[in-house]
Amino acid sequence: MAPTRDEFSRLALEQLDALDRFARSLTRSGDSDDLVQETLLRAIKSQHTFDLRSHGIRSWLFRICHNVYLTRGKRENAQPRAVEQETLQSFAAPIIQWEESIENSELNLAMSQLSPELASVLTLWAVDDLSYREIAEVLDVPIGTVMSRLHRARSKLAARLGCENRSELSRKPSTGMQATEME
Amino acid sequence: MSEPTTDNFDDPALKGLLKRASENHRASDELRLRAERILSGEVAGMITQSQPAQPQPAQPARRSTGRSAMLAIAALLVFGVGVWIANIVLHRMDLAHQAQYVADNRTIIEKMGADSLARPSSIVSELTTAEATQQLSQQLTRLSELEVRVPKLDDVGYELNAGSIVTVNNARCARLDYLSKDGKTITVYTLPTSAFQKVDAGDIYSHQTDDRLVAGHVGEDAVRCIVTERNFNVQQAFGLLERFKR
Repeated sequence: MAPTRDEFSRLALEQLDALDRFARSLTRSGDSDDLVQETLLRAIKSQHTFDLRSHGIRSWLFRICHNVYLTRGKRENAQPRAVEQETLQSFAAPIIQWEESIENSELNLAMSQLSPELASVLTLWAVDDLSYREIAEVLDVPIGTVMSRLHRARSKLAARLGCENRSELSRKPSTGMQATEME
Repeated sequence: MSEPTTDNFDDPALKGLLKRASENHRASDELRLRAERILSGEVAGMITQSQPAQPQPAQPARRSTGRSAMLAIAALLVFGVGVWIANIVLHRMDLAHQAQYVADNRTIIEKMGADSLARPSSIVSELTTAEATQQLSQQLTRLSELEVRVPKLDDVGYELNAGSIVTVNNARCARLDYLSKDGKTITVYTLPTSAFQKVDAGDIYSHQTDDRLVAGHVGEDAVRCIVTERNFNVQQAFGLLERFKR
């Protein structure tokens, strides 16, 4: 059932902070406000397709935001730059010793140095508590790609913050399942 | 070949750090204002314009480096807050200006929206060869006494269908009709500025009627308006409008 216009506006406004945070994880040039604005314009136009019972509005807005981001050509022509192959073993959760003393400023700086693909996955997973499946739907990528990106995001973040990544020492030779990603 | 597990891996320590780092994140007042206006339908077709980056809240310094450094930071903060407030004020003025523009000229804007759905009664030319296009430009310029450019829109799937002189709000203006293969239309009007209640050169605006999108640009010599499907991308409409300017 589609919400009323007023209800839709209220729900969308409640997600503004989260939407802004997600937009900032995608953009690096300070134009996240424009991205959010265009997302809301598209959301308004498509609100009749939004079903409150079957979708959470947050994931729905994130999906629109990501589509807008892609169509605005922020992602370097959407051309595949490299085909990355991740193995099943590499999806195994790396064991990282995060230090509680890490300051917010350090963490924000390290996050800003990640690519938008990695930063957005990390934000959706850690801050917005989206499941792999939900993240895959938002970004329109396979779940394997979400796992791969999350793995790389955590490893890179750990490296930038100087945290110990024990899985680097014990990674096994790769065989088996491959996830393909256009980056 | 085995499927990778899709069980959601958890890392409470990292999640805790990232949540802590972003718990104070709030959309800027300016963005909230824009969002409220969009969601209330007050500004139906807002124009996306790049805004200067908002000053970010200062990150906490890891170590104090003395009183002079603190004073410098305080001065920067004061400056940053000043710039931020100025941005908000200027943007509010811009939004208010655009809303006022549409309010002042709603009648003619909506007339163009309605007129674009009807076939023009005084077609000057339906020829669309290169020579005829050039000729059409000259004829419309002469008849409307406004400079009328007749660019191609083939690259976006629209072909020139006809050029005509029509009257909107008692003003004589040039009208160009473009048609896509699936029957969608783009109509471009070139009108004298005197047809509008109040316009300033350089103004741009967009407005959605029940079924049409009207986007316009006020030039020194004329107002050029593009009227198309309601769900047409506003940025693309302004991009196309550029081709019709002098």
